[in-house]
Amino acid sequence: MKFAKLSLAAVMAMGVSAFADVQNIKVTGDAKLFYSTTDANNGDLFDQKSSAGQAALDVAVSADLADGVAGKIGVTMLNTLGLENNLVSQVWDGGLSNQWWVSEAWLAKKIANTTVKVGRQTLDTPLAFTETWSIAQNTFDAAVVLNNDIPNTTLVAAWVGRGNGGAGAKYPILAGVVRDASNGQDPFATYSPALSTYGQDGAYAFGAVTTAIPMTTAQGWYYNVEDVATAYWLQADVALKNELKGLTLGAQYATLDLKNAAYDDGSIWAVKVGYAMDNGLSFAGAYSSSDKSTLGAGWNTATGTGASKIYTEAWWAYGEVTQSDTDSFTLEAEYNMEDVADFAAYYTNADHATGDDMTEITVTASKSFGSLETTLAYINTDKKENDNMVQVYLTYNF
Amino acid sequence: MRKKIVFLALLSIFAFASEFVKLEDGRVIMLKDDGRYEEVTLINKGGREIVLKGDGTWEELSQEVPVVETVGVNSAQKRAASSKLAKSLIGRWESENGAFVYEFHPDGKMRIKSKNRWRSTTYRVDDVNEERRNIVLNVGESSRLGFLSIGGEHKTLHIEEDNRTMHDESYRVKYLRDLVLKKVR
Repeated sequence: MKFAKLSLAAVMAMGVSAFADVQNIKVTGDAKLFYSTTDANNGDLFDQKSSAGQAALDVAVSADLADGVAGKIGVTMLNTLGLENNLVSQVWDGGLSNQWWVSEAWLAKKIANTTVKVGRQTLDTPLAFTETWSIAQNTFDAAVVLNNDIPNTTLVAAWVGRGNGGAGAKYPILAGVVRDASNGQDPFATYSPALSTYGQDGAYAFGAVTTAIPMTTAQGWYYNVEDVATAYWLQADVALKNELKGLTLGAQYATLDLKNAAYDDGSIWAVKVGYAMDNGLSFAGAYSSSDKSTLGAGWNTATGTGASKIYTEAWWAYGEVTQSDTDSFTLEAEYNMEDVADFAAYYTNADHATGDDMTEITVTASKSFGSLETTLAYINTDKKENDNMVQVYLTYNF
Repeated sequence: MRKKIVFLALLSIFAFASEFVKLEDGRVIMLKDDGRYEEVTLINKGGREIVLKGDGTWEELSQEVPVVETVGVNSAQKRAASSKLAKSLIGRWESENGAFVYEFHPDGKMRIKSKNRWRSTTYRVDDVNEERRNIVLNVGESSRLGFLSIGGEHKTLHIEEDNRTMHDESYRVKYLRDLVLKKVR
């Protein structure tokens, strides 16, 4: 019997040694419950017909594998929790049915100053990025190469085969960041839903981000959505901490050149000034202007939400400031009371050459209770009519 | 026959020794034949090591109880945390534009500033590669289940030879940018 026990111990030891190369295993995730209600379209706040709600669960495991390879796999699940029976009539994202999909599954390896990351992953580039504002986030089947051989400079080359970016808000979907994965259907399809009518063979992106110029972070990006469009993004952000600590200036310029000869190409530029104080209070103001075109410019090509990284982007009504022939400005104030709460106020105005102008005022309050993060938002949007919206975000991190 | 007796004797010694193990925290565990285990008390009486069992019986040990490591966790972490490279973390690190700040305190607490928002959390050094000058930091862990770390995030930090320049490798892989922080104090 003791001999048998030794054998088992040996087997266990062998098993442990087999996993010895797997280190730093981390299990993370969050559970979310988001609620939104509006009085738009002659509705009433907190009425079932004008409210949206949904729950989500994200679970991921990351680890350092053998030979210096890092990896991560994550799953996202959406569930209405039956809220549609008496509280809401919309979901935030995905679809009305319960669903799940693999949101991340990648491996990364660093060789000298070069890192290669392959698989399903989040991306953070100016014109193709993962949106994190909804209850679910879009990801990409992609291969990314990063190189830092040039001092203070990161070179990026990315190939994106597919994504699960959604087509944007469309009843009964409030946000539309991701595609519907109901009934086991694969939500990962062609690259860009906003450009999908043309069919795509993937997209390429090349970028350089450098801090070689003192106090300045400069970046330039080139995108090629195969057979559909090319785009450029230039940006420089300067921190004038020697002149006035906390003062920042920024400038952006983006283009969208469509292959369809019947469409006019677009461009947009923006400038920003910000000031952050040591006490957690910060202010910023920005102005942007787009020229006359068919589809505007500067928006995320990976989804149809209209979200962008343009300085003037609204807090909620995405896609307004990047429309054709639009002048916009935004003002914002944020106050971070560390370990207490965060408060913020945002004002955005989009002046369209054609169509109704848009003004949005948003006030938010956020507080963490241990692992539970809470945000309460009030949004007033003035376009064709004046609408009010109240949103509650609950996220439990584990 | 003699060989067989010697073999069985050695086997019984080896097998007997495997019944009791000492954990790194000093506790002595008896591994039972039926698959269960029991914490016992080890005493030294007149140079003899005697185990006091929970059922009221005792047993004299013929050899020293082996000390076992908790697989992949405590010993590695102790070595990592005591490395000179890991100790160089203590202090305040800032990005050039001031947008990111990492503050490491000796008591395992840290503050992170990102996009003008501060948050307080905890950290622990899980792994150190002195040759590559990389530190794997376990930030904001909520709980641990054996070798599984639950909650928070692992940050891989690369410290340059000057011990005053840090690259957040995890940020680079996630956001495609080289986040460089300088030690300011």
